[in-house]
Amino acid sequence: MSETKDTKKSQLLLLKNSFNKDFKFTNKEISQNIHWLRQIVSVLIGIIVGAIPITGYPGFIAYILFTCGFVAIYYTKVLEVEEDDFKWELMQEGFMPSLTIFVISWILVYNFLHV
Amino acid sequence: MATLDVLFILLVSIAASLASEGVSWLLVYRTDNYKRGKASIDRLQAQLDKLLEQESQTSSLSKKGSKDKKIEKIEEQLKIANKELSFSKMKSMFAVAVSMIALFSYLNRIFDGVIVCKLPFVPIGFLQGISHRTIAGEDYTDCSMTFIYAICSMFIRNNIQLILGTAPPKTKQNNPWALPEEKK
Repeated sequence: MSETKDTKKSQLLLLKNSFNKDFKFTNKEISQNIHWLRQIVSVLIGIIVGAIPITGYPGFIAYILFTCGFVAIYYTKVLEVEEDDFKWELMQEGFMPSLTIFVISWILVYNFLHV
Repeated sequence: MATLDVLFILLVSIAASLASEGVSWLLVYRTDNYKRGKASIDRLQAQLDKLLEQESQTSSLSKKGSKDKKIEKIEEQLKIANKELSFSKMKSMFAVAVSMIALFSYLNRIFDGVIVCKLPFVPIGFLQGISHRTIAGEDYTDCSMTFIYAICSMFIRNNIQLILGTAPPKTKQNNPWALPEEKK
Protein backbone atom coordinates (compact mmCIF):
# COMPACT_ATOMS: atom_id res chain seq x y z
CA MET A 1 0.00 0.00 0.00
CA SER A 2 2.81 2.38 0.88
CA GLU A 3 4.28 1.93 -2.58
CA THR A 4 1.18 3.13 -4.34
CA LYS A 5 1.10 6.10 -2.02
CA ASP A 6 4.70 6.96 -2.79
CA THR A 7 4.17 7.03 -6.51
CA LYS A 8 1.32 9.46 -6.04
CA LYS A 9 3.39 12.22 -4.51
CA SER A 10 2.64 15.20 -6.65
CA GLN A 11 5.32 16.56 -8.91
CA LEU A 12 4.96 20.03 -7.41
CA LEU A 13 5.70 18.71 -3.95
CA LEU A 14 8.75 16.95 -5.29
CA LEU A 15 9.97 20.07 -7.06
CA LYS A 16 9.48 22.22 -3.98
CA ASN A 17 11.59 19.83 -1.99
CA SER A 18 14.23 19.36 -4.66
CA PHE A 19 16.83 21.33 -2.69
CA ASN A 20 15.77 19.97 0.66
CA LYS A 21 18.48 17.62 1.79
CA ASP A 22 16.32 15.87 4.37
CA PHE A 23 13.74 14.83 1.82
CA LYS A 24 13.97 11.19 0.85
CA PHE A 25 13.58 10.47 -2.85
CA THR A 26 13.25 7.18 -4.63
CA ASN A 27 15.30 6.75 -7.78
CA LYS A 28 12.24 7.25 -9.95
CA GLU A 29 11.40 10.49 -8.23
CA ILE A 30 14.95 11.71 -8.67
CA SER A 31 14.75 11.09 -12.42
CA GLN A 32 11.45 12.89 -12.66
CA ASN A 33 12.72 15.78 -10.65
CA ILE A 34 15.86 16.10 -12.72
CA HIS A 35 13.74 16.00 -15.85
CA TRP A 36 11.67 18.99 -14.74
CA LEU A 37 14.54 20.95 -13.25
CA ARG A 38 16.37 20.46 -16.49
CA GLN A 39 13.48 21.82 -18.52
CA ILE A 40 13.32 24.89 -16.31
CA VAL A 41 17.05 25.49 -16.50
CA SER A 42 16.96 25.04 -20.29
CA VAL A 43 14.24 27.66 -20.70
CA LEU A 44 16.20 30.09 -18.57
CA ILE A 45 19.41 29.51 -20.51
CA GLY A 46 17.49 29.87 -23.77
CA ILE A 47 16.10 33.22 -22.67
CA ILE A 48 19.48 34.49 -21.52
CA VAL A 49 21.29 33.28 -24.64
CA GLY A 50 18.61 34.78 -26.86
CA ALA A 51 18.61 38.09 -25.03
CA ILE A 52 22.38 38.69 -25.19
CA PRO A 53 22.18 37.55 -28.15
CA ILE A 54 24.58 34.70 -28.74
CA THR A 55 24.39 33.25 -32.23
CA GLY A 56 25.80 30.11 -33.74
CA TYR A 57 27.36 27.18 -32.00
CA PRO A 58 28.49 28.97 -28.84
CA GLY A 59 24.83 28.91 -27.88
CA PHE A 60 24.73 25.13 -27.97
CA ILE A 61 27.99 24.89 -26.12
CA ALA A 62 26.58 27.17 -23.44
CA TYR A 63 23.50 24.99 -23.23
CA ILE A 64 25.45 21.78 -22.82
CA LEU A 65 27.86 23.29 -20.32
CA PHE A 66 25.17 24.81 -18.15
CA THR A 67 22.61 22.02 -18.11
CA CYS A 68 25.10 19.21 -17.70
CA GLY A 69 26.96 21.27 -15.14
CA PHE A 70 23.73 21.94 -13.32
CA VAL A 71 22.71 18.30 -13.28
CA ALA A 72 26.17 17.22 -12.17
CA ILE A 73 26.30 19.74 -9.35
CA TYR A 74 22.75 18.88 -8.35
CA TYR A 75 23.34 15.19 -7.98
CA THR A 76 26.70 15.43 -6.33
CA LYS A 77 26.01 18.26 -3.90
CA VAL A 78 22.33 17.88 -3.11
CA LEU A 79 21.45 14.25 -3.71
CA GLU A 80 24.90 12.78 -3.13
CA VAL A 81 24.35 9.99 -5.63
CA GLU A 82 27.14 7.43 -5.59
CA GLU A 83 26.51 4.91 -8.36
CA ASP A 84 28.08 5.74 -11.69
CA ASP A 85 25.40 4.00 -13.73
CA PHE A 86 22.68 6.01 -12.13
CA LYS A 87 24.63 9.23 -12.62
CA TRP A 88 24.89 8.51 -16.31
CA GLU A 89 21.19 7.77 -16.44
CA LEU A 90 20.44 11.08 -14.78
CA MET A 91 22.71 12.86 -17.24
CA GLN A 92 20.62 11.54 -20.12
CA GLU A 93 17.29 12.09 -18.41
CA GLY A 94 15.13 14.40 -20.49
CA PHE A 95 17.98 15.45 -22.75
CA MET A 96 16.09 15.73 -26.03
CA PRO A 97 13.04 17.55 -24.63
CA SER A 98 15.24 20.01 -22.79
CA LEU A 99 17.43 20.60 -25.85
CA THR A 100 14.39 21.37 -27.98
CA ILE A 101 12.80 23.54 -25.31
CA PHE A 102 16.08 25.46 -25.16
CA VAL A 103 16.16 25.93 -28.93
CA ILE A 104 12.56 27.16 -28.97
CA SER A 105 13.06 29.70 -26.21
CA TRP A 106 16.31 30.83 -27.83
CA ILE A 107 14.58 31.34 -31.19
CA LEU A 108 11.60 33.09 -29.63
CA VAL A 109 13.59 35.57 -27.56
CA TYR A 110 16.09 36.19 -30.35
CA ASN A 111 13.32 36.92 -32.86
CA PHE A 112 11.41 39.05 -30.40
CA LEU A 113 14.32 41.26 -29.40
CA HIS A 114 16.75 41.28 -32.28
CA VAL A 115 15.07 40.66 -35.62
CA MET B 1 5.46 39.25 -36.69
CA ALA B 2 7.91 36.40 -36.64
CA THR B 3 7.37 35.84 -32.93
CA LEU B 4 3.63 35.61 -33.45
CA ASP B 5 4.04 32.92 -36.09
CA VAL B 6 6.26 30.89 -33.81
CA LEU B 7 3.84 31.29 -30.94
CA PHE B 8 0.99 30.23 -33.20
CA ILE B 9 2.84 27.06 -34.16
CA LEU B 10 3.68 26.43 -30.51
CA LEU B 11 0.04 26.73 -29.49
CA VAL B 12 -1.12 24.54 -32.35
CA SER B 13 1.26 21.81 -31.37
CA ILE B 14 0.27 22.04 -27.69
CA ALA B 15 -3.37 21.73 -28.71
CA ALA B 16 -2.55 18.84 -31.03
CA SER B 17 -0.69 16.96 -28.30
CA LEU B 18 -3.52 17.47 -25.84
CA ALA B 19 -6.03 16.31 -28.42
CA SER B 20 -4.01 13.23 -29.24
CA GLU B 21 -3.74 12.35 -25.56
CA GLY B 22 -7.50 12.85 -25.33
CA VAL B 23 -8.08 10.45 -28.18
CA SER B 24 -5.72 7.98 -26.59
CA TRP B 25 -7.61 8.26 -23.35
CA LEU B 26 -10.90 7.70 -25.14
CA LEU B 27 -9.69 4.67 -27.03
CA VAL B 28 -7.11 3.13 -24.75
CA TYR B 29 -6.34 4.53 -21.32
CA ARG B 30 -9.83 4.14 -19.90
CA THR B 31 -10.21 0.54 -20.99
CA ASP B 32 -9.86 -2.14 -18.37
CA ASN B 33 -7.45 -4.02 -20.52
CA TYR B 34 -4.96 -1.17 -20.49
CA LYS B 35 -5.37 -0.53 -16.76
CA ARG B 36 -4.74 -4.17 -16.00
CA GLY B 37 -1.62 -4.22 -18.17
CA LYS B 38 -0.29 -1.05 -16.59
CA ALA B 39 -0.91 -2.33 -13.07
CA SER B 40 0.86 -5.59 -13.78
CA ILE B 41 3.84 -3.74 -15.21
CA ASP B 42 4.07 -1.55 -12.14
CA ARG B 43 3.87 -4.58 -9.89
CA LEU B 44 6.56 -6.46 -11.79
CA GLN B 45 8.81 -3.42 -11.83
CA ALA B 46 8.47 -3.02 -8.08
CA GLN B 47 9.30 -6.70 -7.57
CA LEU B 48 12.30 -6.41 -9.80
CA ASP B 49 13.60 -3.32 -8.03
CA LYS B 50 13.24 -5.01 -4.69
CA LEU B 51 15.09 -8.10 -5.86
CA LEU B 52 17.89 -6.08 -7.39
CA GLU B 53 18.27 -4.10 -4.21
CA GLN B 54 18.41 -7.24 -2.13
CA GLU B 55 20.98 -8.69 -4.42
CA SER B 56 23.24 -5.67 -4.17
CA GLN B 57 23.01 -5.82 -0.39
CA THR B 58 23.71 -9.49 0.12
CA SER B 59 27.09 -10.33 -1.26
CA SER B 60 26.93 -14.00 -0.35
CA LEU B 61 27.75 -16.06 -3.39
CA SER B 62 25.84 -19.16 -2.34
CA LYS B 63 22.33 -17.83 -2.97
CA LYS B 64 23.14 -15.82 -6.03
CA GLY B 65 22.21 -18.46 -8.59
CA SER B 66 18.56 -18.81 -7.63
CA LYS B 67 18.11 -15.06 -7.27
CA ASP B 68 19.52 -14.44 -10.71
CA LYS B 69 17.09 -16.88 -12.19
CA LYS B 70 14.21 -15.18 -10.44
CA ILE B 71 15.29 -11.79 -11.71
CA GLU B 72 15.60 -13.09 -15.22
CA LYS B 73 12.13 -14.56 -15.05
CA ILE B 74 10.60 -11.30 -13.88
CA GLU B 75 12.45 -9.36 -16.55
CA GLU B 76 11.06 -11.70 -19.15
CA GLN B 77 7.52 -11.22 -17.86
CA LEU B 78 8.04 -7.48 -17.82
CA LYS B 79 9.12 -7.50 -21.44
CA ILE B 80 6.03 -9.45 -22.47
CA ALA B 81 3.74 -7.14 -20.51
CA ASN B 82 5.32 -4.09 -22.11
CA LYS B 83 4.83 -5.54 -25.54
CA GLU B 84 1.17 -6.24 -24.87
CA LEU B 85 0.67 -2.73 -23.59
CA SER B 86 2.17 -1.10 -26.65
CA PHE B 87 0.11 -3.41 -28.83
CA SER B 88 -3.08 -2.24 -27.15
CA LYS B 89 -2.05 1.33 -27.90
CA MET B 90 -1.77 0.68 -31.61
CA LYS B 91 -5.36 1.57 -32.45
CA SER B 92 -5.13 5.03 -30.96
CA MET B 93 -1.69 5.57 -32.39
CA PHE B 94 -3.06 4.97 -35.84
CA ALA B 95 -5.89 7.46 -35.33
CA VAL B 96 -3.51 10.02 -33.92
CA ALA B 97 -1.06 9.56 -36.76
CA VAL B 98 -3.73 10.16 -39.39
CA SER B 99 -4.99 13.33 -37.74
CA MET B 100 -1.44 14.59 -37.23
CA ILE B 101 -0.73 14.19 -40.92
CA ALA B 102 -3.88 16.12 -41.72
CA LEU B 103 -2.92 18.90 -39.34
CA PHE B 104 0.57 19.02 -40.73
CA SER B 105 -0.61 19.35 -44.31
CA TYR B 106 -2.96 22.14 -43.20
CA LEU B 107 -0.08 24.01 -41.57
CA ASN B 108 2.00 23.38 -44.64
CA ARG B 109 -0.60 25.10 -46.77
CA ILE B 110 -0.70 28.19 -44.53
CA PHE B 111 3.05 28.51 -44.19
CA ASP B 112 4.02 27.49 -47.68
CA GLY B 113 7.16 29.42 -48.58
CA VAL B 114 6.84 31.69 -45.56
CA ILE B 115 9.92 32.52 -43.54
CA VAL B 116 8.56 31.97 -40.07
CA CYS B 117 11.57 33.23 -38.19
CA LYS B 118 15.30 33.81 -38.23
CA LEU B 119 17.38 31.15 -36.58
CA PRO B 120 20.17 32.37 -34.35
CA PHE B 121 22.34 29.57 -35.75
CA VAL B 122 22.94 27.74 -39.00
CA PRO B 123 21.63 24.20 -38.68
CA ILE B 124 23.92 21.34 -39.59
CA GLY B 125 23.60 19.45 -42.86
CA PHE B 126 20.64 17.15 -42.61
CA LEU B 127 18.65 19.62 -40.51
CA GLN B 128 18.87 22.23 -43.27
CA GLY B 129 16.53 20.07 -45.30
CA ILE B 130 13.91 20.51 -42.59
CA SER B 131 14.58 24.09 -41.59
CA HIS B 132 14.83 25.38 -45.16
CA ARG B 133 11.89 23.45 -46.57
CA THR B 134 9.80 25.32 -49.15
CA ILE B 135 11.95 28.43 -48.68
CA ALA B 136 13.84 29.92 -51.57
CA GLY B 137 17.24 31.52 -51.25
CA GLU B 138 20.58 30.60 -49.78
CA ASP B 139 20.30 32.18 -46.36
CA TYR B 140 20.18 29.17 -44.11
CA THR B 141 19.22 31.11 -41.01
CA ASP B 142 15.75 31.50 -42.52
CA CYS B 143 13.51 28.97 -40.90
CA SER B 144 10.38 27.30 -42.17
CA MET B 145 7.37 26.10 -40.21
CA THR B 146 8.41 22.46 -40.42
CA PHE B 147 11.45 22.91 -38.21
CA ILE B 148 9.59 24.82 -35.51
CA TYR B 149 6.74 22.35 -35.57
CA ALA B 150 9.10 19.39 -35.31
CA ILE B 151 10.98 20.69 -32.30
CA CYS B 152 7.80 21.88 -30.61
CA SER B 153 6.11 18.55 -30.92
CA MET B 154 9.23 16.85 -29.62
CA PHE B 155 9.24 18.43 -26.20
CA ILE B 156 5.54 19.19 -25.85
CA ARG B 157 4.38 15.64 -26.44
CA ASN B 158 6.93 14.23 -24.06
CA ASN B 159 6.17 16.70 -21.28
CA ILE B 160 2.42 16.48 -21.62
CA GLN B 161 2.60 12.73 -21.35
CA LEU B 162 4.70 13.11 -18.22
CA ILE B 163 2.30 15.60 -16.66
CA LEU B 164 -0.72 13.43 -17.40
CA GLY B 165 1.14 10.35 -16.25
CA THR B 166 0.63 8.51 -19.52
CA ALA B 167 4.24 8.33 -20.58
CA PRO B 168 5.16 4.90 -21.88
CA PRO B 169 7.08 2.90 -19.28
CA LYS B 170 10.79 3.19 -19.80
CA THR B 171 12.81 0.10 -20.50
CA LYS B 172 16.52 0.05 -20.94
CA GLN B 173 16.37 -1.61 -24.34
CA ASN B 174 13.93 1.01 -25.50
CA ASN B 175 15.24 2.64 -28.64
CA PRO B 176 13.64 5.99 -29.48
CA TRP B 177 14.23 5.45 -33.20
CA ALA B 178 12.46 2.09 -33.26
CA LEU B 179 8.98 3.57 -33.68
CA PRO B 180 8.02 2.00 -37.03
CA GLU B 181 8.35 -1.43 -35.49
CA GLU B 182 5.10 -0.96 -33.62
CA LYS B 183 3.14 -0.62 -36.83
CA LYS B 184 3.79 -4.17 -37.88
